[in-house]
Amino acid sequence: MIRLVLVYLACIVAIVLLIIQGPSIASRIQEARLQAGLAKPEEAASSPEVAQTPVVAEAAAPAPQEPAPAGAGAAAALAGVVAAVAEPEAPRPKLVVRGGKASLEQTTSAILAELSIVKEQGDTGGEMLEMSSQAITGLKGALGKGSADVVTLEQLVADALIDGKTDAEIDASVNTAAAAGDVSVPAELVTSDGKVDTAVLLASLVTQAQIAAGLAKPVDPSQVIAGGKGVEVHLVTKASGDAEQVQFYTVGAGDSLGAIALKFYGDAAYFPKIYDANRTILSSPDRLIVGQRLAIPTYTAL
Amino acid sequence: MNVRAFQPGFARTGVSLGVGSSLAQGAAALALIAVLCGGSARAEEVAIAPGQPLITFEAMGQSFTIARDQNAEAAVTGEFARTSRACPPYCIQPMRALRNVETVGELEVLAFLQDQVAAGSGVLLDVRVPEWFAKGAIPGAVNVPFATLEADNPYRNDILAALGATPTGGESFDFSGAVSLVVYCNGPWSDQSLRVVRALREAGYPAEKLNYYRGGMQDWLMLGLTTTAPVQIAEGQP
Repeated sequence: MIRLVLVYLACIVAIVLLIIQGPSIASRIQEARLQAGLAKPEEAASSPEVAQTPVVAEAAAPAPQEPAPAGAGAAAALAGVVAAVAEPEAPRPKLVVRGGKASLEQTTSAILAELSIVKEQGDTGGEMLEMSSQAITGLKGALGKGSADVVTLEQLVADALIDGKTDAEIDASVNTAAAAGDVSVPAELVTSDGKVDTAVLLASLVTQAQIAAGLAKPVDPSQVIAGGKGVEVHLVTKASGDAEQVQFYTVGAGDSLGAIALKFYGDAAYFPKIYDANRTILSSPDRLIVGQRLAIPTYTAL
Repeated sequence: MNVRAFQPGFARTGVSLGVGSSLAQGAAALALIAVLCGGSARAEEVAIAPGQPLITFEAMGQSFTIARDQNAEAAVTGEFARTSRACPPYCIQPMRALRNVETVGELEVLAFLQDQVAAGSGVLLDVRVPEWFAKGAIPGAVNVPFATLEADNPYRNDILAALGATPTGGESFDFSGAVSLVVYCNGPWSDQSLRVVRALREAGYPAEKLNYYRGGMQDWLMLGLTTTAPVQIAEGQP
């Protein structure tokens, strides 16, 4: 009972920190663990300075509430589509991408379970992670290749957070392990330049910690107004005569589908809506190409 | 199993040599060695094949020895003595898993361990659940439970990568660098190996790199071959 209250408190602390845009998410989660009495005292002593550069701040912050530029010409829109279609698929480092029931939500809940912020996963997810981890460790040992210390993305991120690593350090170690093929990643975290979008993963961790604490989602998807580079809003007149607002987004360097969903809906978990609306140009959620113009369904149409 | 049986014999020889100080005692010790050696030779009557009493190989930084139970009275007991498990689910499996996937027996498994597993170019996969693997398995096998290789496991692609497959974008892999596999489970009454062979083929694993040891633990134990731990399985279904 006391533990439950502590976990609740820890999550509230995490939210307060999110709102005041304090230190990096990694140190925020670390702080939450300290508050909950989960970290050992010596870990507390070695916990990072609060003044670290918040690498994820941009992605983690609620999308800017600036008005979107409206009414770009149809010719420009057409040119964008042509450019996106004509763009050849550039060679990039290949990551091991997850299939099956994999999702960012499942990844984050496994990490939170590891950090004891949420209870063990109720379904067979935890058991499957355990069995798979043992199998991977056994195979790496038998074949003597890859790093036997790094087994899954979940374990890597949870250990880094427990050790009080900064966002930049977590990003570096996740990308090193993924590029070496040591860990697989959810497809929506793969960026247009073939890297892992650790910022979106860390932002998702905070969101899920809040949901686990029984609080509403921090961002109401229908209230998000995305703006900035790459965003276009068009007024399309339908056959019925009604005008409908349609948003487009041009993929930039370093964008992942998860990051785009976070930008437009405030939560990376909505990425399938964007993926489904763009199946004609996206062969898989991990294959974004810089310059591709994606249709973004409005929230009410979800 | 038989390796353990020999250890007491060698230990006794060492003791008698240490105690032996007089000539008479030395002669007695020599006689004892002769008797023990003779005894050992007779105990090796249950060989794997003519002229092959045992096999040894190194893998995972350990050395393994596989031989057969030297007790002429030994018989399969416990769970593996059962004949009539309910079918379904425990049904008789076909001889051939899939087209171009070879079905192998014990001698091929032993050769695979000595050649491919020892060289790091092959893995013997025990695809049973971890509880059963812990109760006794083929020495040198790696436990990769069948469910972890099915397409709905989020970590399945990690396992394929660990087997040497190279990601080529999306969920596709290049299997040219993937290791050869021998897959086994509890034996001809269990479908776990077939499920794995099917799942791996669907993922794109080349058929010529897959082998099915149909006999599995059932036949391995029936032949008195060495296991990683004594198999004492309690009541209950596998």
